[in-house]
Amino acid sequence: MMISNGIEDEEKWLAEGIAGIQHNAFYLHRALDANNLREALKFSAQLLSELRTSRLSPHKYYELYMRAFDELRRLEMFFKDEDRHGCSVVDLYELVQHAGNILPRLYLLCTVGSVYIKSKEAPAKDVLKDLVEMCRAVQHPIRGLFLRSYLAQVSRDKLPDIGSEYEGEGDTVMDAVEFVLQNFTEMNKLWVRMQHQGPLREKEKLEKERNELRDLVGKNLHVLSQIEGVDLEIYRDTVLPRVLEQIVNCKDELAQYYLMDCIIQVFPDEYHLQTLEILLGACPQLQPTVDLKTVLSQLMERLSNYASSSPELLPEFLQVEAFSKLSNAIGKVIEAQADMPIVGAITLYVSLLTFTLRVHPDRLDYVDQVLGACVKKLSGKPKLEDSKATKQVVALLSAPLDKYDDIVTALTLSNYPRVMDHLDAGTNKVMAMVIIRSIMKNKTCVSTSDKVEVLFELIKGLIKDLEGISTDELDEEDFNEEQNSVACLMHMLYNDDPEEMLQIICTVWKHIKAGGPKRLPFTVPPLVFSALKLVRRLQGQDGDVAGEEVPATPKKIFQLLNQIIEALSVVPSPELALRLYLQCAEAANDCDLEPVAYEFFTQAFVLYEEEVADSKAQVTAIHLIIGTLQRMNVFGVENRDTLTHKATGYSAKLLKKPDQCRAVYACSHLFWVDDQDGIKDGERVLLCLKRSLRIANAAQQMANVTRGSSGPLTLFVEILNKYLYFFEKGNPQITSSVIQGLIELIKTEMQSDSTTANHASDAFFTSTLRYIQFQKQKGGAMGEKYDPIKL
Amino acid sequence: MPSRRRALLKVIILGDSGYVNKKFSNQYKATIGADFLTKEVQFEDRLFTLQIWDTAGQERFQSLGVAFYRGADCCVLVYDVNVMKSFDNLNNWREEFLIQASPSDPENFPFVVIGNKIDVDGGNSRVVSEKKARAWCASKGNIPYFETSAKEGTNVEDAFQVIAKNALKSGEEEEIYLPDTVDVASSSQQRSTGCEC
Amino acid sequence: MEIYEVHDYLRTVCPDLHITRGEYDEDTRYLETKTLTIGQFKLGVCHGHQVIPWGDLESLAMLQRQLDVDILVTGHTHQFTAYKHEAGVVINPGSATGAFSSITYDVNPSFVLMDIDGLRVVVYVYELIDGEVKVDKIDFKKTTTSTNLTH
Repeated sequence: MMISNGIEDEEKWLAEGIAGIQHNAFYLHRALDANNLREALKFSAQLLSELRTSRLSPHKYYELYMRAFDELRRLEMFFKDEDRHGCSVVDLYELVQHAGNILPRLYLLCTVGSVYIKSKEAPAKDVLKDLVEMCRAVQHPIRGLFLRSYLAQVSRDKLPDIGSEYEGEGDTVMDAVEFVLQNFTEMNKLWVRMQHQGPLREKEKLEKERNELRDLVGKNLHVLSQIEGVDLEIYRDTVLPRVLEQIVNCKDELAQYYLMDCIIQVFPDEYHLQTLEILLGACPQLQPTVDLKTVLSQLMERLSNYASSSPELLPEFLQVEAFSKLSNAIGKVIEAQADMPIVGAITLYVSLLTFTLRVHPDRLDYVDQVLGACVKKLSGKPKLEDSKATKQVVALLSAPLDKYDDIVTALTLSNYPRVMDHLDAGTNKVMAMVIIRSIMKNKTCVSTSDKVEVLFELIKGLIKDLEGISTDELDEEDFNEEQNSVACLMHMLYNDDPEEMLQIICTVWKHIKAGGPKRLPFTVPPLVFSALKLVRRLQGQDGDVAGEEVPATPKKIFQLLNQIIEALSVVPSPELALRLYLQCAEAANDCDLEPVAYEFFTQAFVLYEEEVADSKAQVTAIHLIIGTLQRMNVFGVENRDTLTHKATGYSAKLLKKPDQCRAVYACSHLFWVDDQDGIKDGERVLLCLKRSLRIANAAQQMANVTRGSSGPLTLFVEILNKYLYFFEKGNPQITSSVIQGLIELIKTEMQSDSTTANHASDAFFTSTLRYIQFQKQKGGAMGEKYDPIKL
Repeated sequence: MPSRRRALLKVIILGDSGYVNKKFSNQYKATIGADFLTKEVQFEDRLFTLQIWDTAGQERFQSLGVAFYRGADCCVLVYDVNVMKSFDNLNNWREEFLIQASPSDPENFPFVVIGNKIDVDGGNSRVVSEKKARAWCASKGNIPYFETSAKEGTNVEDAFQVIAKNALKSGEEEEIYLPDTVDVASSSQQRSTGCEC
Repeated sequence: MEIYEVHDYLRTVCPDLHITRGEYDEDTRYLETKTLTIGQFKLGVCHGHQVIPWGDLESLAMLQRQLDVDILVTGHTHQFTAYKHEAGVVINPGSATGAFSSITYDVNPSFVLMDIDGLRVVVYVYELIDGEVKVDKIDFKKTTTSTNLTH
């Protein structure tokens, strides 16, 4: 099998490499046990030769490397023990340089070098310098990177750091820094150069391999961060500038992105805060394709976490002007990366805003500034169509709402609506819904007309048709949900001061009246009720107060209400309008405003006569008219007569006889109001009841003709109950004998029509008779009253 | 086997919250790649060098994988007593280690568990009780258990004593390589395909 | 206006949902009245704007006789009331949201739960008064399967 796939080959090569290491390790161990330096060097060099392979990917090479690494630790222990091999470390350092191949030779040199430093027979800095220079001899990227990472690892605990035993006598922490920086620079060069090696077609594979090697390079930054002696000063003046210089100069996207991330992750927050300008200054100099939004977002997240770890840190953030530095840097990055998609820029602003909200929650000006920068970026461009970008804008606009749990705060941000203007109509509505939900969730009360003005400007996508979208194209269910939300929102607009409340209502009206026929049925009723609530608050303080400013009066509100309800005529929605007029009429009644109440009734009646055509709708409307009129006490005789006359007239003209009958007996209540001052016109009550009886008769005769049987007796039983009602109320026109007659009539009818027994009306009659029986047995005045009625 | 070879012991520290260097650091600094440091430990009149590998559990900075697990003599599992998830993850870390390091006798491989940061907020934010931790350790073959504070590193020395003792036990069962009777020493060099550097 | 959200919400409270028509419901699929039988009790449900004078007990009692029910549940006035009346009970649970009403000033949000067990029904009334929930309990017992109630 000559052709096998690459992975199998690699496994085979790795296995061979491991076998080679194990084999040589066996003889190495024997040599170590025998304290045989020459043999030990021979077999360790052979063992290390396995690392000369070019056939393994970084992952596999690392496995091999680790095997060799473990063996080198034993060798190192042996080197340390001069008694065992009888060779001074200085001589040893010379001796290992005789190894045949350069890679094994350098691994051995680094191993002895570490022992050399530990022995302190030479200054650490000299040995380190020598080693880091010597390693230049290996220029193959993978082999070179692993060799240098070995050097970094074995020298790690022997650096002349502050407090370490290797410090002093000319060895300073700066030597340690210098050594690591040099190793870092060399490694980064090897790493970056790797991409140019190998054929173009393998570019993808090469990038993957490079990416696997990244931590070898990054490791140096980790070592730097662990050096105790690297204080803020050294970090600011040496470490950071040198590292950034290398990052900027290497002009490699992968290296730049990764190493920026490393810097942010390995060095302490306080250093970042104090060197923000330097770190951020490098950003615009990086390749335009580097994903700086992720880098900067991570930096800001770290800083926000840092700020929230202790309240004492805030002054530091203010002192270094962290916000404005970040803000400036983001502006420059966006400018420098001209090809950055809009979503990238907005993501950056979202991160900055998140930072601001966490670190400076009290600085609304910062928030507005971020939004303003975003507006600037968006201006002059067509409305956003990129769904990812709009998602980010929604995130941007939602962040202040989530933070403050209070829309009122967001309403003070001048740039907030300007950002919203850049959203397409659909997203604008999504955002408007987010705003409304935030208000509902937090039960935020919006309490001035100015704020209501801003709010309705923000949610205008829900309030009226925006350009390009007509309500016809909308999904009905979504539309209903949106409009219901707007309706709910109106309950959150409130001020204790009636004057301001009226202003709020006027402002809302100004916005919603342009909503068109589809929206008005949703938005008008809650506004009407809001106004009616205000009327109720003002009840009793009627009359125009002299003065320049006319305060909120019920009269004024009723005028507005008239306008608002009238707007429903474009829908048209006569039934809804009729109900609202009746509500207003009752409110006017409570305010003792007879002409106003009369006017509202007139409007309701006009609608009834001209617009309500459906017979079922008429039935409901007439019941509402009667029900409302029955409760009115503001009317003088004349007006009242006019209205009751109309109402009874409508009742008698309903299409279906049973409906007529019921409406007419309901009208009886218009002439008998069970209040102290209520009207009590027994004769007209009786007239209504008699009339309803006639209609019931007519209904039954019609049933006889059309169905060949008399219809159910329910209507008669209903009327009987009405008689009982007025009988009990003491209407002198309703006597026990009249009731007796009606009972007999029903009984006779029932017997004559046993074929069409109707359970419902039978049960109704039975329970009515049982009621009479109950009243009779009650004793007292009521019992006495019922006594003459015989069952 | 000559005893002096066992003087070097490899220890791997795993867990959601890293055991950073000499002390448990409060301020977050990421560890890149695997990092080890050495520590001398006296046990039964003998000096051992512990080679302690710490990873801080960040996959993001582990681009080359975990080949360094191999050959470990002991594995220390660290969790934060204030973070339930770090305790819940102990089992994952244990299993991950056994898969990746593939020790010859996984049943008896020596682990040690350390409950870290017991002093945070005066112990008030603690969510994993000692009893619960010990119960888990018992269920996994009586893993020795220690608790340490973030600031002082109390009990760390005790832990290292046990690590040395346990690692020593396991080291005695190290895999043994027997070479072919044919001497391949010379041919192995020819097989190498690297360049002449 | 159909508010599916409200239906969905109510179904989370109880999946067996019955709705009768209110005066603002233009949707004719809701009935004017409904009767249900729960255990030994027969219940009638009606919004109440059809019964004039609104909220009037004697007039509601007539509807109760007409529907031939033990318990009549009605609304419209946004005011919680419960009456024992000759042959049964008339309950108005009030308005759960405390919405504006022309009929009732200072509407307190309220609702009722009825626990029907054999011949006994316990009505729990929850009323929000000045920010505090007041719970009341009203007990009715049916002596026989007829509609006669004792107090």
